[in-house]
Amino acid sequence: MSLLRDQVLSRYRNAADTIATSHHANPNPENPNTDAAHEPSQHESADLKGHAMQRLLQRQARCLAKLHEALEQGTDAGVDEDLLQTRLDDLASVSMSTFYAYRFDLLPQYWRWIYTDTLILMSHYSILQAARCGSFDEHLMDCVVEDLDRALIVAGGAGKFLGKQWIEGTLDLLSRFWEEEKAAIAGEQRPHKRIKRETTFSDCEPFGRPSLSADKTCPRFEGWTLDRFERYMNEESQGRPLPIVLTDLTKDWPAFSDAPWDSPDYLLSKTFGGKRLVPIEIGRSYVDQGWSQELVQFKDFLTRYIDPSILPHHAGDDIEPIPQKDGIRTPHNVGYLAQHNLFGQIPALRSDIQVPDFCWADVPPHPTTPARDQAPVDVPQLNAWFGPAKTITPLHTDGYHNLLCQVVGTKYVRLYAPGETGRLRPRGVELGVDMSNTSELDIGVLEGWDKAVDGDCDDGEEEEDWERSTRREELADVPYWECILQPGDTLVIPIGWWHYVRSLSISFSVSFWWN
Amino acid sequence: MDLFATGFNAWHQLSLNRQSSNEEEEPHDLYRFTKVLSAATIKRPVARLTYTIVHRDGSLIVAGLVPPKTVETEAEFLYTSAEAATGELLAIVHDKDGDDNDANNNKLVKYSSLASQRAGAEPESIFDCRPRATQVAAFNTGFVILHSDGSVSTFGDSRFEACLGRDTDPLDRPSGKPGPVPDLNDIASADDPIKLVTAGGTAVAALTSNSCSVYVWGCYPPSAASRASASASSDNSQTHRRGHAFQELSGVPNYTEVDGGKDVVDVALGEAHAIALTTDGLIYVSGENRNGQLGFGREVGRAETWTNVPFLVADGYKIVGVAAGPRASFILTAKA
Repeated sequence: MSLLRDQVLSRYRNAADTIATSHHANPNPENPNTDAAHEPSQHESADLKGHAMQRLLQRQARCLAKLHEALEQGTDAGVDEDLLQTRLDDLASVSMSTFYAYRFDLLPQYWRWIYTDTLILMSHYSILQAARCGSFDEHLMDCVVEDLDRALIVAGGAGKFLGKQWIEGTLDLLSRFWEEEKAAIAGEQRPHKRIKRETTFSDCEPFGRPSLSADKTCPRFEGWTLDRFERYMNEESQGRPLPIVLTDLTKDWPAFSDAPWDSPDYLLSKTFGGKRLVPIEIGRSYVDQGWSQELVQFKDFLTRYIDPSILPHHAGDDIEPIPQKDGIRTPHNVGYLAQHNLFGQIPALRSDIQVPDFCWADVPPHPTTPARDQAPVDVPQLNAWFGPAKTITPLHTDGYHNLLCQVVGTKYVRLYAPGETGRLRPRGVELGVDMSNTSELDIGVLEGWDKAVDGDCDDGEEEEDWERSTRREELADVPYWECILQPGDTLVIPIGWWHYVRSLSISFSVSFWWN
Repeated sequence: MDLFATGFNAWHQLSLNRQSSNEEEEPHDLYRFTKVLSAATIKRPVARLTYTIVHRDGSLIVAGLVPPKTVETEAEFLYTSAEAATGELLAIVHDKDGDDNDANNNKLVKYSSLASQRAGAEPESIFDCRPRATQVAAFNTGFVILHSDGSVSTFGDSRFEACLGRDTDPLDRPSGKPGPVPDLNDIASADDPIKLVTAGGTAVAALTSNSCSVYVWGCYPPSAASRASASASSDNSQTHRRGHAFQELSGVPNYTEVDGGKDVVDVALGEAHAIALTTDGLIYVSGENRNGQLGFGREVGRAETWTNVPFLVADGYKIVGVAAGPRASFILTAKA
């Protein structure tokens, strides 16, 4: 009997016991200090539902503990397993609809805990089923990893007693256990056949690149110290720094050498063989109609959106082929892993990069609009941006200073100064969401690089053309900066600068926000 | 009269006759309409996720998990108010004077939660209603109000504008204050006013008095809507989102045809299902059946369109009304 298997089972058994006895939502909050910072609206009536759901959760945890015991002793637990599954699904669906009913910053924290614990119990049940019939297979591991990743991504790994740490530990244990299982299966079968695949992502730029004008290209520097950088950001620029490219800031990152991010094999090895889920934006740009977000397995993301030749297709794989028109992808099937804190979700990748010292530099506030300044962040905020050629982040501005570090492939960036805001047509409030940090202008369409995606306006085509040419003329007068980022380049985007980002090839970048 | 119920029962909230409680036993859902109460008079039940309140022979009875220490007056408040998924409560206030000084006018009060109402806190908002409000119902993120002249207004979270059935504008037509649903008020006239409003999940419906037609509006649950092919069903169980009762939902009230255009006399919406009573005395349901809320038994996962659910009415009785909880359905029968 495998030691790792026993460790997995006992870890889950302890988790069920913890959930069965822990209290999330108190119907009569006596201890308002517990996690007060995260519970802006700790109200009793909202608590009734939370309290009720927690009791339901505890009952299901006790059922799982019973099933666990019965497995060890080879007896019948007398648990209605259909009902157990229905109740776990009830818990998850009630939590999800509550997530959406609240504006995200007003959601009481215990709803995230309940969702996390529910997903832990769901994965527990899958593990128990497999243990009972003595066969752990690929599909089962997919389901288990998916449940745990959903808790990490959707609920932020929130948990009072289990949460992120428990999930990370479990995923680590499961991946070691799964390696062992796979080796055992392979040992029984014919010798393992090594799949030959390209060792690095293609650096092809299938749609060409915009031609840069020399007088608008961001200047490039190297060898800067922190001191030099602070001087640039403050005194020299009088608090109004221009965007610049630093070419040697990230040269020591393992992601460029021992931990090669341009290697599909390496990335798969860090993501539980590609089983880990990642959030993907689908569509050309987040302001387009038909744009959506999905959680998909990392390996599916690679094969569907980055490079279909990366993995061989097995019979029975449910990876949908991307519909292609004359061999060219339509915008609807551009998938982009964008603005995701991948390094919080998958800490194994975090050690491949380093936060540049410059993110601790003293930097000026927003040059024109102090209201745009975000609350100071304790540590720089990391985000991953990984996708095929022609992913687009529309013209927008952030409430932070930004170091955009290019690791794999190339990206084009266009930048407009904060003082030009009035001429960039900021959006208004759309469906209750303040969109004023995003411009109405579609640089790609105005420059003729992209076709317009049909919007919801009923204007005739002529009117649209007319509007587009007006906007093009308006924009032609607005001064801008631009650059093409190569692997190893870091673009400094000072706070308030409008930027439009477009990948030219398969591209992987990391951004650091700070203030 | 008899009350029949089917659906979600995790807190014994459908067991209105139940005496003792055995906490350890996980209650089963009811998968078929089952008689849960008999009395001389029963009024339409009000069902929330964890409890049911029924008006029986002049007093209220409660089943399931209710707020701790609920007294009769509070049960009355819960019975007559509407609760959104965020716990916000909306109630119609009847003037203490109760005379006809201002019969055309009354007030709606909104509390941020039951706790604040219990604590005697001031309501979060008070709205003047002219013409007076006669009925309120809640969807996940807001409320729908029926007025005495048969007109309908809505208010709530502007992120889900389609549920409001109207355009919003921060200045002229704020989402947070009751505003008329223009298309609906065009459909219904003085001769054919709206007689009932109902809501659940992300859908809202209104029923006309004479043409006996149901109009629905709203949006799909967020993650379902984000799919390229907006199917009404939840095609991926792992997203943990339930589907919806209606094939087509938008911000414009749309006629929903029940079995080739039958007249409807009563209708109720749950979180992801709907139930209707037609003039020929039949029951139609649509939407999710994961907890048995349609009364079709365990085998049916959901109904894509209005589907007749067989229901045997005892001799000398007829169906007089229907009701819905978030995941439950009710049928009320009376002596014919």
